Amino acid sequence: MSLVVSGLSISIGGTLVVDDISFSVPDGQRFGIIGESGSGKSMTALALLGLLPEEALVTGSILYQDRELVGLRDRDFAAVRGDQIGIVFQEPQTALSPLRRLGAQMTAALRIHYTLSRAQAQEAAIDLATRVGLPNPESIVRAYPHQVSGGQRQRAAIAAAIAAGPDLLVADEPTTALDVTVQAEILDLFRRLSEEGGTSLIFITHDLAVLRQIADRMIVLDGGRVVEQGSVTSVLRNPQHPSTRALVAAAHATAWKRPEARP
Amino acid sequence: MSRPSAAPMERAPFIAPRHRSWVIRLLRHPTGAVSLGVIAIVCLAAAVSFVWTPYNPSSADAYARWLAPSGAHLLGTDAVGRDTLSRLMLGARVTVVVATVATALAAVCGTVLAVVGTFSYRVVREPIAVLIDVLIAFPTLLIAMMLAASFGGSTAVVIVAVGISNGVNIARVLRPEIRQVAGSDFVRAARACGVSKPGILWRHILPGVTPVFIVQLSLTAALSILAEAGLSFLGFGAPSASSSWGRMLAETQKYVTAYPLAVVWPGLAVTITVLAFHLLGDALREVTDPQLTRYDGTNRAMRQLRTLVGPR
Repeated sequence: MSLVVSGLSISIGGTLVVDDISFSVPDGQRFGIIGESGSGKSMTALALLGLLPEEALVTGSILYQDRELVGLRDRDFAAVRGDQIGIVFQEPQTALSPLRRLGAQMTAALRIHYTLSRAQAQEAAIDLATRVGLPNPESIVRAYPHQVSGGQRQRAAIAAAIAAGPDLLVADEPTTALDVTVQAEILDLFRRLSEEGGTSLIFITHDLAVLRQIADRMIVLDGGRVVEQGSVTSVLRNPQHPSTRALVAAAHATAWKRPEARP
Repeated sequence: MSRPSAAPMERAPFIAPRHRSWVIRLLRHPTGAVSLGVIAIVCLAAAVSFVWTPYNPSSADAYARWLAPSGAHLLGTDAVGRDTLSRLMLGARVTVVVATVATALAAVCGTVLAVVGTFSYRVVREPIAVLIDVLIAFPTLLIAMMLAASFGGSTAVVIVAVGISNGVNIARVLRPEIRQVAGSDFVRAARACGVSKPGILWRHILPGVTPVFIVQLSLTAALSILAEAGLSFLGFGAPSASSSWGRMLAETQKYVTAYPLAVVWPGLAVTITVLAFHLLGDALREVTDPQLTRYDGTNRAMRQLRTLVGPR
């Protein structure tokens, strides 16, 4: 078992935003967390990386490779972030600093966790750009974020998250801000990265149609609680909880009958 | 497993932008180049004054009082027959020293106050916020006069007064900027890559506030020159033996109706130098902000100018 979350609760300013949730993600598995806005899914993601706001109160346990992450000091957590667990956020517009070149941002984790020469970092940046399918890798690593498209920015953000080769990648709604064709490409990229590197993936979304294309197992969050869990196909075939049904209905209503639906 | 989808999926090919360093972009910026030129002339005049001035700036000549500008005395002479140009060059020294030292002091003060006032523990943070608000209430000139009254008037007192009060002002402007950058997504993303808190400060937050910071610094330089001139004019600044633009104004203003030109020269020197620092600040902001800059290194002001002037 690579990641075991048990009895995780998060409260911010006296409000319980995540209430006693438990799940586990074995090595190499693609795991989905789904829920409406405010269901606590992003807070769960931030807790996995110790990035919750300082006033947040976390109880329970997050065991990653048999190491307890809850209560870890920030300095120790920094050694885990990027190196062992990476995260991709929702907004490609703002997830990259406007002041630094893509290459420098993509290799940030590498340069922190390993010692690289300038030439090695440059080479690594080009290699990463190629792996995430950025066009013209040699020149795009020298570009600033505002000079490339939203999809390309998200690819760069993914490159930054996988740079140091983490074994677990958390993707917090990485396709929500993108249009549908780019969405499909990014999903493809995530699937390929997890297959090639054997990386576990935690994919957070509110869109069942997206989740269905990428995850094997899933949990459904509602009001900070796990209301349903199991394999994606079984949950979809036989949704038990009203909120799951609502999500299924929403997916049906919108993009459910998309032609490229799972191969 | 190895699918060919590793190939580029987005169609538009990316063309590498030609990126010029901001120094070159500043030199190509119309107001940037001009203001930099003016500041360079002032600095040069101050430097040259150490080895050469047209006349001895402190030697009085009873036969050359109130001379009009001429070939011999380019800007004329004052009440005791001293060469105005020579005295202006000497005054430039005070101006340059005050502008650099006071601005450096303000920069350090402002940054430390703003950073500590944002990231430190609550017991440190909140008193700093109060301190900033209280000090803001006192005008620079008032602080300088109070200091001068207790420590005696000198250029050093002017520098400390101007440096600290502008430092507080910089901190006041910088603090919300820092807070905004610190709360942005890319800082969270960088933290997620494992960047430590000092690393975030150094790589993301300070560069993120640099455009604002630079504008504030050039404003500070302009304000410190103005404050020095003002305090010297009032008799709090440079001692009477030395020559500063403010002193020159004070000495000549009695004769403004009889010899207006004698007042105009130091006044013009102060005005032009202050204006140059203001314009330099604007130009710097434009060339250091990548979002205002195009691939080719031109920026909005230059493009506007070109649309007015037409293609060359």
